[in-house]
Amino acid sequence: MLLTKKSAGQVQKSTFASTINRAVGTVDRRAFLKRSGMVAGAGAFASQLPFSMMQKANAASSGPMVAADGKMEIKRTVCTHCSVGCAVDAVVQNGVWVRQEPVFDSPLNLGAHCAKGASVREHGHGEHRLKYPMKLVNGKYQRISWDQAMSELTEKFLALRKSSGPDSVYWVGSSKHNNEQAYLMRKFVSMFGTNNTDHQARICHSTTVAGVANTWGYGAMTNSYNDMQNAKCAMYIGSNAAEAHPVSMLHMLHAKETGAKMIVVDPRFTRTAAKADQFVRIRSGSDIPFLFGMLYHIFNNGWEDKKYLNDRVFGMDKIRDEVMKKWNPKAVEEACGVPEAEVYKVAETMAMNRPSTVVWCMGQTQHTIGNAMVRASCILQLALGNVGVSGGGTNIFRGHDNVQGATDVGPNPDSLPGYYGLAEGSWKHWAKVWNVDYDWIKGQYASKAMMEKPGMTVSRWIDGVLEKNELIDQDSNLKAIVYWGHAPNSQTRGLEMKKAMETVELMVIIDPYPTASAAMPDRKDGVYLLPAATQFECAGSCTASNRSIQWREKVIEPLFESRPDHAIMYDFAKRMGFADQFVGKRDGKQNIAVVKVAAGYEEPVVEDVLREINKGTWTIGYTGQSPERLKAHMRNMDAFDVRTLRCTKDVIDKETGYNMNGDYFGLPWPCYGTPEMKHPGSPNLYDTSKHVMEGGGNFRANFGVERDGVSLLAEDGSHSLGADITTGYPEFDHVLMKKLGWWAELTEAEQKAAEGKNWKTDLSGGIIRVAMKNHGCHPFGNAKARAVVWNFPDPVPIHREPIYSPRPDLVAKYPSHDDRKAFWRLPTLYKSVQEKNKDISKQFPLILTSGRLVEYEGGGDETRSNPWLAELQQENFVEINPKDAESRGIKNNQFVWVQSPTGAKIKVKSQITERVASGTTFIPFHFAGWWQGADLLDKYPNGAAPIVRGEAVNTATTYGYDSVTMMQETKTTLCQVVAA
Amino acid sequence: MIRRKLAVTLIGCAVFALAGCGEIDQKAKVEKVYAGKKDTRAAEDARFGGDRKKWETTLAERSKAQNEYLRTDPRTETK
Amino acid sequence: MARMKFICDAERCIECNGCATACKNEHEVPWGVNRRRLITVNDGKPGERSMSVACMHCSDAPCMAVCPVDCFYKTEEGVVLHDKDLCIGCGYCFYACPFGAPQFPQAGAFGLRGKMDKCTFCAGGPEENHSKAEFTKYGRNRIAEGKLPACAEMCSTKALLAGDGAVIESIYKTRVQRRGKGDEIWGWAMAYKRGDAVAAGVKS
Ligand code: SF4
Ligand code: SF4
Ligand code: SF4
Repeated sequence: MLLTKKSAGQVQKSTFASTINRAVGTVDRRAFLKRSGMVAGAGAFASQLPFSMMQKANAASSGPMVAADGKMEIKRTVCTHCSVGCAVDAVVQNGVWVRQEPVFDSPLNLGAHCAKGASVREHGHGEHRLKYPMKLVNGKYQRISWDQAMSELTEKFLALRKSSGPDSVYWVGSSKHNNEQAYLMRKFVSMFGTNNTDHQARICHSTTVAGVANTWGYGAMTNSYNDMQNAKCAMYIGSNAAEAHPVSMLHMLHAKETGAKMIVVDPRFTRTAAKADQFVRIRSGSDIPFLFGMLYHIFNNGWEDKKYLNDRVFGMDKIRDEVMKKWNPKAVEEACGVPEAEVYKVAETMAMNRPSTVVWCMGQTQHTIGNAMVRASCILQLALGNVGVSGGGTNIFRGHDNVQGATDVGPNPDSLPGYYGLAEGSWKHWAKVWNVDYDWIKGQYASKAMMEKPGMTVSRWIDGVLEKNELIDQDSNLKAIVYWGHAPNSQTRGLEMKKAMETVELMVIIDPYPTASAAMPDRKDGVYLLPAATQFECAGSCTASNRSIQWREKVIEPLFESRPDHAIMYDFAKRMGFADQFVGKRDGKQNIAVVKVAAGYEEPVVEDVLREINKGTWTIGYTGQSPERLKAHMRNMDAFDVRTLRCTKDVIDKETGYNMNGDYFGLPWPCYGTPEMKHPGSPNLYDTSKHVMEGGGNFRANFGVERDGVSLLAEDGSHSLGADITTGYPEFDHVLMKKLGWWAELTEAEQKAAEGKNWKTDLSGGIIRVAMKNHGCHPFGNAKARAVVWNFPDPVPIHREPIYSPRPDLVAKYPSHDDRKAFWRLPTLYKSVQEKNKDISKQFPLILTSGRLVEYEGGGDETRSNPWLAELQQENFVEINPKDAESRGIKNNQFVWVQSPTGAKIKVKSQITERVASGTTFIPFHFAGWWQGADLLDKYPNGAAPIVRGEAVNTATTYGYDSVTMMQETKTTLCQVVAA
Repeated sequence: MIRRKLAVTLIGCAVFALAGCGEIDQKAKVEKVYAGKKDTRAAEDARFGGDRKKWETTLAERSKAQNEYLRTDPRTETK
Repeated sequence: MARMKFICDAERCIECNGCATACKNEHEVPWGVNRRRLITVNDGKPGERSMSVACMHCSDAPCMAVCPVDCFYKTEEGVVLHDKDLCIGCGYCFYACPFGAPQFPQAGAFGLRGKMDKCTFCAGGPEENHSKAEFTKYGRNRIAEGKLPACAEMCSTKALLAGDGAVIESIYKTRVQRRGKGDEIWGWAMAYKRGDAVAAGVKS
């Protein structure tokens, strides 16, 4: 037999793998890897480096791996690449991160990792990092000292502040900051005097946060990845979890094995779809017709949960009218391309297998009507009575590891931490928590009006630079842009972004990597790069998608000359003259201690920052998660059940003596009241089957008590388990407490603090304690969810065609919004652009959509610099259907130009696949470093360019923004593809 | 022969069906003697001191982490 | 006695490359050498399935059979290892291996083949356990630490199972029973024995 032959001449290439290559025919997107080691021999003989050694601390070539004197330490941290929050044990020897071990105890990931998580140790070595501060001089990056960089920058910022006002600087913060840093960032920009700040959530889930919060109270994932094990059916619409949240699939596939049904609705046959029981292909951007098409069958067959709708939902009758009138199966098929039988089957499966859950991600959010799409999903779940139920809910998978936390307490242009907004009362609340004078902050702003006016969004900062001055709603145009932990290539309209980058006076990039921002603009000077430390080089908390908060230990000291973000913020604050305010030092009190570290800079103590967050963030229950409780959870992860996330027995943390009995893992917010009140956190929001002190709840009273003569409060008998008030009720304040006769239950000190306050502003937590602990009532009241959000442009979600639509006939039927004049300080266009481009699909007939790859994260600068990941995806590509490729004479794996209506053209490899339908193309968005065909390698600082560079899809994307949140449209635009 | 058969199986099945070719004789018929350096056995490691039983138990214990049913099965759910 | 095996559950594998990356990380395998990699059939079409492939540590290892310098050996646990000091980089094993496991880093500038490298089941090689020499030639020895292969321990969906054949077969068997439909364990019959696959409750 062949396999036993020994002579070389007779050994034939018979490997199993090569057979596969032949059998499959087309080469997939990891083709180069397959070639390596598989095809015709050559690839297996890699022309690459020898085995590398990362054990620099102990580099002798013989002897044991563990030096006798080498101190081995285990540091527990959390993967920084998505919101699943997979725990990692880092093995550190002599300050070097030498190994990475799985944390089987973690209830979130049980030791599992995707490629990104399995690679995080490399960030602790980071050969391609930005190593020291740099400044662009004559078109070349030159090394400078921290002191020079900080003093020159401070001078420039203060000069701009003086000449053009504080609103002339735009501060892009980050969802990769931990909670403490994100929170300090918002505080820092406030003290600089502007609301012109934002972070990744804007272009990720801003439409979700706004849409969902306005429907029922909080803008977050209602349940958890783990809770999906309790679902009997899950529908993914606009989520490719297998690539974007891989470890979440552990829970879903487990659920599937125990009988749950899985449905995937998407324009692409994704890797998630490959695991589904039913896959439905919709046209990109037609989610509302599909969802309302489902509702049509639900109403038609009486599958809606009538009691639930009566007790807990406002306005479903209006939805019903709209659905039955406009979205009959014929209209649905016309708009989204799905025949009646398929829609019916999905509706039936969801209705017959309750509790059923809906998962969505960027496929729904990143549209000009994203806010309406996500509400349509909420409405579907309300109709089925699936919200507030274990196994149900809207499982909205967030993106970055701490995008939830940064949304909750970080740099948002329209709100102070905790969704308090920007009203005078909110400022006064936070001024008190910060231990600073309200009038002093006001003095930092251009005016009180500017202080209370939402800033521009990161999706539009380029218009803040380029738009005519008389059309923008602030004094000066933007003159400086600070990219503090944010990639540029994740935002649309690359051509104009480059222009904006070349127009501003000053660009500052603060990041572990230079990012594409360093290489994109053609500038000679006025660019500074500051090396920030990664999350493995500092401690702090981060909030996973399921609202669980995890504490990261510091794994190693900051590499090279990098510094933690909060230390850089403090340095700026100090140089700008508000160090004391920044750390709340006044009247002999200081909220946040500052320590000097060995490297010579000063750093605010992270635990103190979290305690300050605890002291002020009552609205969303970020008050109970003290550093001590969080750390105890991290040390005792095995105490928590994987299905419920709960600890149900006495487990005492050895270090603190803290007993975790009753807690949910990571104290998922809301964790109300003071840490001493010991609220266990809320695993599933709005769950009336549990007592509020057991994590139960109900929908929030946040929209008044009555609308159009109809009560908005929950019906009698619908309340959280064991509540003393069994009717609906408004939120608690001092007046209600007194009316109910509960005021006396507050201690004297609490009464003093709570007088004139409501549950959100009572810094003693007394109102919350009495309402929850003594009376089982929810401090935010008990009301109905809103199917109709009357304060939004489309109170009932309405389908509107994308601005660049492939269907002129449908544009006529479902036109976009009217143009807006001053929206987030900028004119914002809808109809006028859509009208102008009504027939553009003649020239650009293919839908262009974008999304993720499992190996990379976000703009990809960090992950594309990691050789273990970079090797797996070496080139950007466009997925194109065989039919479209054939008609264009395009062969597989050849260079093509993707041209867009903006005049941009990008050069990528063709990937011919049925993953996309004819008429649709897909390009992953993680690449950058090429500009319309040219490699920008020379424009990066020496040695700090990512290993893999490629064309950014957003160089080619077009105009279009959500009508509530300014979310950019990335999921549906148009292009043409031609052979290169 | 064998190769053709493999290819057919692959194209024909949605699920990977290699096991369908069980009749292949894979016996290595040549008697081979290892010519290299001697290796230390795993159980001889300092951690186990030659106690093979201890080593096997450690591995078996560790294997449980690959079975999430041990922590998620409804029957093991703690209320 | 423990007999080490791999199973990749194609119903679970999502082609996330976690396993391949875990291997790179644990052993610091250089760019271009892939001890473990993913194979996908029906890419982008219904029926798409992925399998994670490395050395299967076959019962009757073809690589061992063809090696002209007899550098392969098999541990008591059935792990197929080799001595890089003996290996001449001829590449026969690569041609013989049904799984394309053997890899060849290039040693010199002129395309000279380096010594063969392949998955060790995280069991190191013929050097003192946990020594520098073992690490640089073969990678880490997790097995001697009482741990399992890094790739399987970190698999994102626990699709990839590694360890004592009897133990992982029973884990897999539970799943197959739950699903109520048979699957094939990828590569099983070729690497091990047909009988084993049947014992695992697998339709073949
Ligand atoms: S990227 Fe997400 S799923 Fe992957 S290891 Fe990190 S946290 Fe887990
Ligand atoms: S068993 Fe170890 S050496 Fe083999 S593929 Fe897995 S991680 Fe790599
Ligand atoms: S880690 Fe697991 S799921 Fe991911 S590719 Fe490897 S075997 Fe498949």
